[in-house]
Amino acid sequence: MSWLWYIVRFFNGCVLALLMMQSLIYLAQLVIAFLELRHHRRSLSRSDPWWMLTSGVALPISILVPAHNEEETIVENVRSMLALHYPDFEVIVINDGSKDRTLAVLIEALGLQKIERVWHADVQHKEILGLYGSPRYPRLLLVDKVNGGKSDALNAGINLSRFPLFCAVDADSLLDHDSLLQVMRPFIEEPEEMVAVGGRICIVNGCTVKSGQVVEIALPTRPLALLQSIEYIRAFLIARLAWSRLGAMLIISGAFGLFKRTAAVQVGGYSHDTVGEDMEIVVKLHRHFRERDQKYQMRFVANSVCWTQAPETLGILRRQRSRWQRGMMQSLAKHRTMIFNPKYGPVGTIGMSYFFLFDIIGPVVELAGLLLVPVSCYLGVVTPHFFLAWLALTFTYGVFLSASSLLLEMMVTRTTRPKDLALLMMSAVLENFGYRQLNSFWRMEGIWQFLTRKQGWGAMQRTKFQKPV
Amino acid sequence: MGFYVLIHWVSLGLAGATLAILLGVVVRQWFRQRRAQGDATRRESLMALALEYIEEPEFLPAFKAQLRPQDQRLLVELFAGLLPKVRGDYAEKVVHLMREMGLRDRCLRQLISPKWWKRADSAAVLGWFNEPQVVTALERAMDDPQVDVRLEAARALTRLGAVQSVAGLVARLAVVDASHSLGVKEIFRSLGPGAVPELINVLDSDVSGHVKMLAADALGHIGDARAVPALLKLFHAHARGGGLSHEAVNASIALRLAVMQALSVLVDPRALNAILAALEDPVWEVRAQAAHCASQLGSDHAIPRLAMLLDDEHWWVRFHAAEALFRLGETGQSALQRAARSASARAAEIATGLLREKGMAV
Repeated sequence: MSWLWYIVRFFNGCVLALLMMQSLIYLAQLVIAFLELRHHRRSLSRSDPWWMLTSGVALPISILVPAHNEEETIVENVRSMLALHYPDFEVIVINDGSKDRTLAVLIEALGLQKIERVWHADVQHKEILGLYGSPRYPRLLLVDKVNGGKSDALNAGINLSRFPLFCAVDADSLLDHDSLLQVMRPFIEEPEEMVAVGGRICIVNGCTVKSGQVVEIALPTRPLALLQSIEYIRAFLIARLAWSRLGAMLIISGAFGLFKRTAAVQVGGYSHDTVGEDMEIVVKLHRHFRERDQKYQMRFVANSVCWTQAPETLGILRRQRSRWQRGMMQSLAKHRTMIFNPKYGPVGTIGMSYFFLFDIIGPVVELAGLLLVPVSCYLGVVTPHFFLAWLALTFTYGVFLSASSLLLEMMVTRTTRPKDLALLMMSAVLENFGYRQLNSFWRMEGIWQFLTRKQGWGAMQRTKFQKPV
Repeated sequence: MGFYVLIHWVSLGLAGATLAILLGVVVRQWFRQRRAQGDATRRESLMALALEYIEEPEFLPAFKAQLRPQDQRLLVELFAGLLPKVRGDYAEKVVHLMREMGLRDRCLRQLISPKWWKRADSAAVLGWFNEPQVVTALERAMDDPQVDVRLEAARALTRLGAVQSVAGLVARLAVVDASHSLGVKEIFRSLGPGAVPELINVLDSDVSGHVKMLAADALGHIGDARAVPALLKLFHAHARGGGLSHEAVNASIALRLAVMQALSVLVDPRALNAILAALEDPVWEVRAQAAHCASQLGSDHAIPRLAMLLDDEHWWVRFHAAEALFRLGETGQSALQRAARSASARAAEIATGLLREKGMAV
């Protein structure tokens, strides 16, 4: 036996151990998510929007909509926000130095005029060029500012907001009529301790949208968006729910999250030095309250839905995924003292450690494992028999997990069509042939971008919501 | 080879389980959607019929004859959704129809269902039947092990004006896991004028600070001026927090805030001195709330102190003071104009900003 044989064998052992550990964690997450959903399912179905609308318990919310080059969808999106079912809210659209006609289309379509509003710079952001409003839309405020990125725009929104809670919503996303009422529930139950609540993100591609509302739910017709659908279901209904239950939720999606304004200001608002601002603010909140030994809670609400456009081309998806990876690594690097640190409770010992092991080390090991296969076979460390057996096991296990996530989907929503469930299942099988490997590659790319300190978001393409007639 | 065989068998097992899940999910969803479609159609026709018979109760036997056994469930759901949205005479007619159709009895039976969500739903519907039998059943439900059922029963009893004692309500709601819920706050607010003496007693008793806050908030929303002396007494008792633990200090601040919020709603001139004192409170949240309270009261006596708050170290206090001055009319606005030209940069900035926001020249 050569030294190379031992080295390859050692690496194979590491790869197998990590993959097995990850598989066990996925299984544990599935069980925890199931228990969590079962526990809250009846409460969720009993939530009475009418009572929340009329009883006076719903706290006022400022909806912050950062917009950068969103002329295609922004007017429809804003109209949809203004029509939300909620007793008291304001919509603050922040035009973050768009190069297209985002500002102009809003001013023209909604008849806005320059106004004055007194505000205080609680958190840092770039210069505000003007504020716009209209007596026709007293709930709407349009902020025009110098481009500074999404975090910067959100910070401007925080400063201009006057309500105790703010809800960050992406400009390319749509909320269901009752989404705000649903995401507000944890704040009604625990108004003192609750600092942030995340809602579920679903893919709008394929759905029929009328007047800024999803009126008919359907799966995307394009394969790439379809493959992302099952991914989103797994991510939100298994991982997010499980982390929420364990008190180790590290991400509240930037597309839809509700925050206590004072808490966000205490941590300095959104950070400018990371592209994963959604993860960063959540980690900062955890760190802030844990270090001060103050009681706090964060929760994920599975039945509060925000609809978002999924990328339909490989190029855009690649940019999105590598950016997510980069953002996550920036946050983990910034708060590395929390990793494996019991001082931060489940956030440090479970949440941060998981992300470190399986989202940073994981893709590297996975790719190394793929490269090692031919070498291992050549050296006789792994027999083709073993390789095929292992491949069969990981494949069936992955599909099994996806199938289980559909069970959870059925517990949350009753409207998914049977044929869509079958289609989702099919995509769960197909994603193993190329899509997953591409994802791993893009994550590696994100790691490389992090190491080379690349900044910026990259362009995202927006399309109108309505289906062409 | 045994190891490989095992792996293959596990893979086969997983594949089988996946197929079973897929089949189960698709078939179940198909049946579920069929049922949902059937329910929706039936619910629509039932609603049309019900609305017709509400106006013509003499044809009720004919309506009952058209019903299928499973319609009772749908009708309860329908009326549970309808009742909170209708008022007065019409609500009475709906309740009468429900009673005649045996839906009240169905809800009473469900109040002891082993499933807690059914008990909670029934408690919510029963809140529209002002009858001794129902009140007794709801009283029993207040001891339910599930907090959601207790909350619904309490909400139903307050709607019926049948809460026997605030102390009982406190014992069953305010000391359990839902004590911080805004839902409990809403139940206390709904107690009505009949509960004012008891709520006042709560302020003076040795219950927890949180319960006192619930009572103070409820007294403010009920809007009975009898509560003012008790609220003022509570405010003065908590005005000094020296020598207290961190938790006690926080509770004291929360109580002062709750009193100020209640006084903002009650708008009673007897509160003026307390509001003036609160404008100098060491805690900024109390000062900001007091500024709002002062504007509600509409007394010019607060103007000098509000003007001083325009230079407060905390922006939200300055903002609320400026808003209060603006709302106090000409005298307040003159004070704002003066502040806009004053030497204090902080006061000038907030006063100028607010005047501009309100469309006034500086």
